[in-house]
Amino acid sequence: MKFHKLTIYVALATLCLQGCKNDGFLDRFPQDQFSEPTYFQSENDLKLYANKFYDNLPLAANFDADNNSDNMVPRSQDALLSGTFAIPSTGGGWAAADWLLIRQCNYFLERYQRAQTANAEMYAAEVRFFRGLFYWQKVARFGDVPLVLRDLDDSSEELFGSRMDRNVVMDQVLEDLQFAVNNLPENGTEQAGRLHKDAARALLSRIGLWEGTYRKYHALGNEQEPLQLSLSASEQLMQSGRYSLYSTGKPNEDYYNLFIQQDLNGNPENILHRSYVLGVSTQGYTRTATENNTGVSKAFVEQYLFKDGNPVATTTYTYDDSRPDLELLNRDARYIQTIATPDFVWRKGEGVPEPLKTGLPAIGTSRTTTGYWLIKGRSSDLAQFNASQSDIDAFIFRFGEVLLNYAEAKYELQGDLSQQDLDISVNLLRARVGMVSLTVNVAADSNGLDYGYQISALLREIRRERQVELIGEGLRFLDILRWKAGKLIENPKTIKGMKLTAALRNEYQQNGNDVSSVITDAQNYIVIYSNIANARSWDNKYYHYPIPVDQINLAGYSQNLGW
Amino acid sequence: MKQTYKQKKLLFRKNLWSKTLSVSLLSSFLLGDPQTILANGTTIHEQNVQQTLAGQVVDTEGNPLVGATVRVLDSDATAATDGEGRFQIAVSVGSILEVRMVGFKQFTSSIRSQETIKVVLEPENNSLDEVVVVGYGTNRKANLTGAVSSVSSEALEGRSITNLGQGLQGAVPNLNVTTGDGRPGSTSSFNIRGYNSLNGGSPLVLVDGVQIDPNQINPDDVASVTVLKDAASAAIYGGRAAYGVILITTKSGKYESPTRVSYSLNQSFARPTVLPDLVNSLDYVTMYREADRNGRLSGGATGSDVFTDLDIEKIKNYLANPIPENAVYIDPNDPSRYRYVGNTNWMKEMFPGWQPMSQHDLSLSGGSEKISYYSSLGALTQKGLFEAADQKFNRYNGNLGINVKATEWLELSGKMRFNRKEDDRPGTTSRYDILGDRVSDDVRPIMPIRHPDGNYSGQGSFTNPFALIENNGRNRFKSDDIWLTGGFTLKPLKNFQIVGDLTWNSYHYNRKSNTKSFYEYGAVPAGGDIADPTQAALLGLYPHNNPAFVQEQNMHDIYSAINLYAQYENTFGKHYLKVMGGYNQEYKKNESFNLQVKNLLNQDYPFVNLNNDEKPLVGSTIGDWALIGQFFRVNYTFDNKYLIEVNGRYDGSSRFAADNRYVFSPSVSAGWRLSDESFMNFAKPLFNDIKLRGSYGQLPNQMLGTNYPYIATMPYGTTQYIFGDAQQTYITAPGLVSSSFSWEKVSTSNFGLDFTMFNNRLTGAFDIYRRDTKGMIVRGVALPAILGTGAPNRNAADLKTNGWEVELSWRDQLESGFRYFANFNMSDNRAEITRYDLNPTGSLGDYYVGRKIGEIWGYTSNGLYATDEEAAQLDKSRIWGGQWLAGDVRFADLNNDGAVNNGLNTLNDSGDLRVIGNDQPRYNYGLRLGGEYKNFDLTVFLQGVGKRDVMLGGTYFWGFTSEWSVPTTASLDYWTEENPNAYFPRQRFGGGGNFQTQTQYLQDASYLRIKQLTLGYTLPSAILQKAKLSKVRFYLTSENPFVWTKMFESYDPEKMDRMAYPIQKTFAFGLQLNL
Repeated sequence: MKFHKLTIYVALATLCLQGCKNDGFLDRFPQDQFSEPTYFQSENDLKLYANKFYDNLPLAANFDADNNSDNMVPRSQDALLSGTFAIPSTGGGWAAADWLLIRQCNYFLERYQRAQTANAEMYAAEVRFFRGLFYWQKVARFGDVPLVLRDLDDSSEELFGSRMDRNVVMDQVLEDLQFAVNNLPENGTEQAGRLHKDAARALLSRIGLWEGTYRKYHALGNEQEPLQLSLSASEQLMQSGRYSLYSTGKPNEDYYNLFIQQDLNGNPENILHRSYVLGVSTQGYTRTATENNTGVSKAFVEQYLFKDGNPVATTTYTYDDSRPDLELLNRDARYIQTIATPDFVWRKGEGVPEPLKTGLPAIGTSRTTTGYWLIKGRSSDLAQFNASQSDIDAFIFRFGEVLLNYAEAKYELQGDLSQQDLDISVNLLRARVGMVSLTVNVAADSNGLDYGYQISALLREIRRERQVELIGEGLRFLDILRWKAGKLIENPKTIKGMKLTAALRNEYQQNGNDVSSVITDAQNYIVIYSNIANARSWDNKYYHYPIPVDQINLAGYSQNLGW
Repeated sequence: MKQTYKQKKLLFRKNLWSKTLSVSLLSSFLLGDPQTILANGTTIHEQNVQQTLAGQVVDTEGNPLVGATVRVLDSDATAATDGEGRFQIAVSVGSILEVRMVGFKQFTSSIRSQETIKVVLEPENNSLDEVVVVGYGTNRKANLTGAVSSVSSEALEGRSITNLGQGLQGAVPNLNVTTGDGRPGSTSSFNIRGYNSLNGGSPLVLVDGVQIDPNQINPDDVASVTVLKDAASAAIYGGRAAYGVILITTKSGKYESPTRVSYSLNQSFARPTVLPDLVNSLDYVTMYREADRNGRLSGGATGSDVFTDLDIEKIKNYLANPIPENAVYIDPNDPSRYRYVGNTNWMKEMFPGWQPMSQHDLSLSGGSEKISYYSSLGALTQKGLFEAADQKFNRYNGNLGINVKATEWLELSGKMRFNRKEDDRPGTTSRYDILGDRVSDDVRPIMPIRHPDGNYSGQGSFTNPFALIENNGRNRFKSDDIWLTGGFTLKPLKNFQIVGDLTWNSYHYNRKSNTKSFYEYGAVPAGGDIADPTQAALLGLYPHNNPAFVQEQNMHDIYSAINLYAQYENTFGKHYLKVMGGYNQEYKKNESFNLQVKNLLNQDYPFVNLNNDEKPLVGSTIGDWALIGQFFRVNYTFDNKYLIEVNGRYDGSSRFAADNRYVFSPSVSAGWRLSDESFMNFAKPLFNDIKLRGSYGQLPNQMLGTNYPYIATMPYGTTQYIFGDAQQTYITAPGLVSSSFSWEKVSTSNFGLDFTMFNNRLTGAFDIYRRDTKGMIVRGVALPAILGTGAPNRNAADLKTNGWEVELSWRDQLESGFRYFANFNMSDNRAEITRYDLNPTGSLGDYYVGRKIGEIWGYTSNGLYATDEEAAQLDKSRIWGGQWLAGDVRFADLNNDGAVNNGLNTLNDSGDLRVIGNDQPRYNYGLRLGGEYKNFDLTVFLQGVGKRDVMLGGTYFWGFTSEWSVPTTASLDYWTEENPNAYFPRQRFGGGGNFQTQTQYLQDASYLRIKQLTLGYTLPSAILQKAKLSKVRFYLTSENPFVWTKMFESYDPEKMDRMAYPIQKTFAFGLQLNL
């Protein structure tokens, strides 16, 4: 057999020459992503990194955010308030994913100084604003938490550190926020949509008040400083002249309209908002109007003052809650702008031949549990009703809250307020809705809410004003925590609805509405939870959520008291 | 068979003694010898003269064959050969003689005028002589020392299967095939010998030596499938073969064979094996209200829809008089809308009929002395189950393979393969992933399909599948998969050859999908004409599809592979030696690009170009991996009795950092042919062959899912938050990675026994093995959550798998001419964690040492509570914090602590949790039975699982897993005061505490299923001859026609996911035709 031996040699050489190692061929690197050594170089790197956190700003967009409080009665009971919350094995707000945001902040703060830019501290201020916010949320839920200020790796000793005294953690939060106030640009000089000093002041106003009163009512000491920080932040906002309450001189509409603005840019009450734009990013709160399965509680509705500035107990007006169209008469104008009353037009716009009025509240349906159908933030416009097609902007911080923070912080610091203080804060809110002013020597509400301890008549009215003005904006449960006011939950009317008399039932049935399944109590108030005989009971352990079992096993944390 | 072509030719010459016949029928055609008696009954002279024919039957070496069956087909006369292979039989000229003997090919011929005849029977491929494809070469089955199983194309032919996996299910022991769901174009996945690794892992599948997705291949093109199970046989493939190798060899042409044209057709009709039977609207509303009431009573979940007595009354009215007007009434709280009180059986409406599938295959093959070729075309068309959705799946396969003997020492080969898939289905929406493609569990019976005015119902609150399918866009994809291989075989020296090939593959995938927005309509106002669609209130756009968008996605993969090896093979007296060494390199790169636009100029022209979108969504990815391996194999055999094989491979992978990149994997195996030892002579009459085998090897595994696992990259995305008027990109912190992890290592020890008995009628193999997966890459030790991310991965866990498998095959023929076979196989395996230090507390939520893969921890339960008092006794608040009532599940307090809970959820304190079962299928078996009589053939293929526990979940088991679910009629047996002995507990949305994993609802998921049932008829050769056809066969076949199982009725034991596209039973007819 003839054959070119050369061929064999070539073939064998090919086999042998392929070295055992060929790193050139095997070196492969990701080409479509960045990695750490090449990042944090330019201002743009810092900006893109800080962008991540904006999705986590707390919004007032879904106004059923107070379902976990005495304001609202959701059809599905809040697990914590009804005592059915069990200690979770894992998760429960304390999983790695829940600490991710804080890790991401720390990762930035350890590296941002590498970037060659004069604006580095400005982005650090953004990130510290967010870290403060995230740590506050942790403390509000769990109390003491580990305080970690750098990004850890798997060998870091801090991982097994114990929970830090909440006061220390909150001091750090306040420090972060002050850093943000100092290093963010003034409102108007920031890039579109980004944080500015006033946003940081508004958060400091909120958290400082929260922390100061928390320390005071839970007797933890050192409440002055946070209250002072809150007060001065509020004052700076009030004195800046940049903000005022939104008002067009229509006391029966302005409050309602404030929360259904499609564009909050230029709104005088807006400090920071979350914009929604059709086709880019939209929300769907209005749509939940007919299927939100919650309702404002009887306890809340009773808090509305009458036009004379007096509560139910002392008003000179007649109080008759036997029918929805009578109950609203002569009340604070926010009543009819918060709750759908019979004349409220809840559906209009293109495609709707006749504007639809509420009529008798749709009890016994998914629309409202209590008969007090919450319409704050919900537009009547059909275009906004379509799911996820709403472009109503949401407040992140609004001036109205700052005024309330101011009044409360100043009262808690001083134990008193001047009429002047009231007039530049609470009374501005009252004026918008045509209510008479609050005076320093207001009479006590003999039938007022039971906070579990005595408070002055004036403080009661400041708190009432806050409750009424901010309903649905997600702050009520936090207020209960800081006021140590769990007793509020034990009020039977926090889980009751409107009065449904036999006559009214009859009227429903005649209109074709079957309300036979709606249960009422002896006084004809609608009962939402048939398994609760009269009232919920509050356990002091609810001031904190429990820590999940796995984390206690892993890190040896002590469980929160009572759990 | 070592016969040369020339020798065969000689057999056809008249010899002095008598005319010799051969079964080499095709050869005789080619020769065209007029003196040759042609095969298959061609009669040359029709003379009806009875005479006695004498003859002898011998094998190809001239040895007389004793006991062969001789039959005359038209008279049914039979005879058997005597001790010298001789026989006598009465025949008439022109009748057809048939000679059969086990182990030999059947002989058929017509009789010409003659008195003696010599019949030479060619041996049927003896299983021992069978050549099996192994890694980089072939081997005789007799010489195999590793655990290797193979299956020929017989298991695949003439079946209504749409992918290869369906055909291989149950055919090879311990080749575990998970067939996809019943969706057109669904794919199968493979596993060899059970649970692989915590990281997943799957066998390496090679088609003609390169890594082709087996789901792309037309099953009709497959010639054989070899499964390399143990490390020793797979080691030659190194780092990707740790969990075995499946070698698929496709059909190819043969030198010196006539042109052969084959056509086959399979037309099938399919229907889900199980469809949930949903409750009617009256039952639905009753159960809903019951669950809602229970939620209120005890602080559990309540319903957000409220049904009133009026609704019930209206539903009853509709059931009594089901006209469209009665299915709706105007909502008293919202006059623009209807309330629904109809009764629609959605399953029946959506899936009314049978789903057709047709497959055509055409092939052409043959060869001359220098060139051989095989080409084929296949076309498969399958329609979807939801008829209105008009789903269509097409697959086209084209192949061309040519081999050329260029010179005495050089053979060249080229292969082209083209696989195309096309799929066209209804568009996706934000609400439903793939509509009509899955069984939706929230279609409420109260909703009619259309309002009385003809508009689709839905009103923005309910999703109406029919409305979406008609009004929405489409989701289409197509893929082209092109494979080109060029290769050579050099034989420069005697006993030496060099084989090389280069393969290049381009895979292109394109998907275009769009949604459309459409209007929804509400009620016709009271007093209007309820049947007039123009009077219906306009409710706006269907919310989940707005804005309409068009999306286009392209993916392109390039893959290339080079294989080059040299082999030396020789025999020195009693010594046989084969040495092979080679090189392999592979590279793959994926690129993708996608684009999504909205603000379409006209949504009826869904093309990405036609838009007015200021900020279209754009994305792209790129990734690659590379692999290099050098390998060798040495086979040595002494005296055909002692066999030894040594393998080694040195691998490098791009998936690890340079320092941890390379790994060597050695293996060794040995065999002992006991039957050839003289001391075993006593067993000779019974055993034809006995062989003992043993092997050990270690393989690395590089399959990690990601291309660059050791590099920390920074995730990116787009914010939801709008900065000014636009969203922005964000980049954020990477997770933690360690650069020090490396290959996980898998070692397998295997012992096996092969035997052949009863004159080759029975063959069998038994293997027992242990596989250790060491250094599995798992996340780091569990760390406190404040780390904010997962601990980095490392090689830190071990697993062992024990198993066995057995194969038995029997084939025989009876004197009547009835031929039959039975192939049985069974396998089992169990896996257990042997090292896992990440879980020091022994948490049950994680793996721990000793954990058996698949074990189910659950509570022990025993009926339902009879009274509220009894229900209140034990503290069950940790399971569910609401109030327990009569009719809730009665759980046992096994540790007598007065409470039912999971303790610390650890091994030491598991509370009342115990291991109550294991969900891994065990004792998988397959049994293929076949018989042939006259022109009929019958095949029955049974497949099953001997033992398996499953805790079912989901709506179709529990009913109201949430208030949005629609229960099945099986859920009607629920507890009420009137039905205290119900199977299911009291109705609760989400179950309260009742839906725990527990003993009383644990299902026995073992099953026995007829996978295939085929009856075929082959036209008699007399007719064929006239039509100049060599084979025509018709058949009727069915896949999955019957199943026996104890499992809960709404579920198929092979598909626990009830939301998935249901798997199907099919009925089909087919045709196979050869020219």
